Amino acid sequence: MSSETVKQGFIAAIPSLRAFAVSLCGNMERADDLVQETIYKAFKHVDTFQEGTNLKAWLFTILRNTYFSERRRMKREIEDADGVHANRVAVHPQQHGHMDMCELQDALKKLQDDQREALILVCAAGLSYEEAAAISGCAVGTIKSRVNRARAKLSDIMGIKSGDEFGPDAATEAILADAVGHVRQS
Amino acid sequence: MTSGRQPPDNRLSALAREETGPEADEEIDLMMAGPVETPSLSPTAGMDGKLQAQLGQTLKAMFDQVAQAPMPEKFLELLNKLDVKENRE
Repeated sequence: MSSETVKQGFIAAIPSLRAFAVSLCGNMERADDLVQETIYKAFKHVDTFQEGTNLKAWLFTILRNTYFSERRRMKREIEDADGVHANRVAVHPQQHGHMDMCELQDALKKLQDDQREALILVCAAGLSYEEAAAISGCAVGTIKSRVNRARAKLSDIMGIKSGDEFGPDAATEAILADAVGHVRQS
Repeated sequence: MTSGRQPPDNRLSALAREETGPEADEEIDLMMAGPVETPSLSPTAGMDGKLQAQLGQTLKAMFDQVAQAPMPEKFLELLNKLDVKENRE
C-alpha cells in the first residue's frame, strides 16, 4: 500500500476517530491527543495492516486499545480514574428534537466502559456488529448483549420508559411520583 | 462513513427481536484485560421501539457533532511529518 493511499485513508477516518475518542474519554482535548497517538502508532505499524481489510476498523481498534491500556495504567497509579471523565465534552451542547443531549452525555458516563463502547460503535458510529466485535476483541453475541444492556441502563438512568415521554421535567415527575404513591396506598 | 447503513429503524427493530443471554458476556469478560464489573441484568427485550429509535438518533447526532466538526490542522501536519519521515527511511 503506497504511503499516499495510507495517508488518504487516515485522513478519511480522522473525523470518526475523533468522535469515537470523545465518546470514550468525554473530553475533546484528550480525544485529540488519543487520535494523534493512534495515527502515530498506526503509521509506525502500517505493515501489520492487512490490505483489503477495513482500515477504519483497524484504526478504531488501535485507538480503543490505546485508551484502555492508558486507563488501566492510570487506575493503578491514581485511585480516581474517574478524573478522565470529569470534564465535559467541549462541543457546544445542542438541544436535540427529542432527547436531551447533555443528559444523554451524562448518562453515558455512568455506563460500564465495555457497554458504552459497544453502544457507540453500533448505534452512533454506524459500524456493524461484526466490525464492533472485531474492534473490541469479543464475540458478536457479546456486542449485541452489551448494546442491549447499555440501552436498558440508559433508560434507567434517564428515567425514560417509553419513546412517548422524552425528558420528563421535574414537575411531571413529581406528579407521576405522587400518582404512583396514591395507587400504592389505595 | 454512513454509506451502506440500513435505515436506523429497520436495524433497531431487527435488534429488538434478538435477545442474547448473559453467558456470552461473561465468557468475553474473562478475555478482556481490564477489570470488568458484574453487568446489571436489566431486562431489555421489553424496551419500547420508539425509545430505541430516539436513543439511536440522539447518539448518532452526538457522534456526528464531533465527526462533522472541522478537522484541526495538527492532524494534517502530523501526517505530513510522518509521511516525510517514511519516505526518507
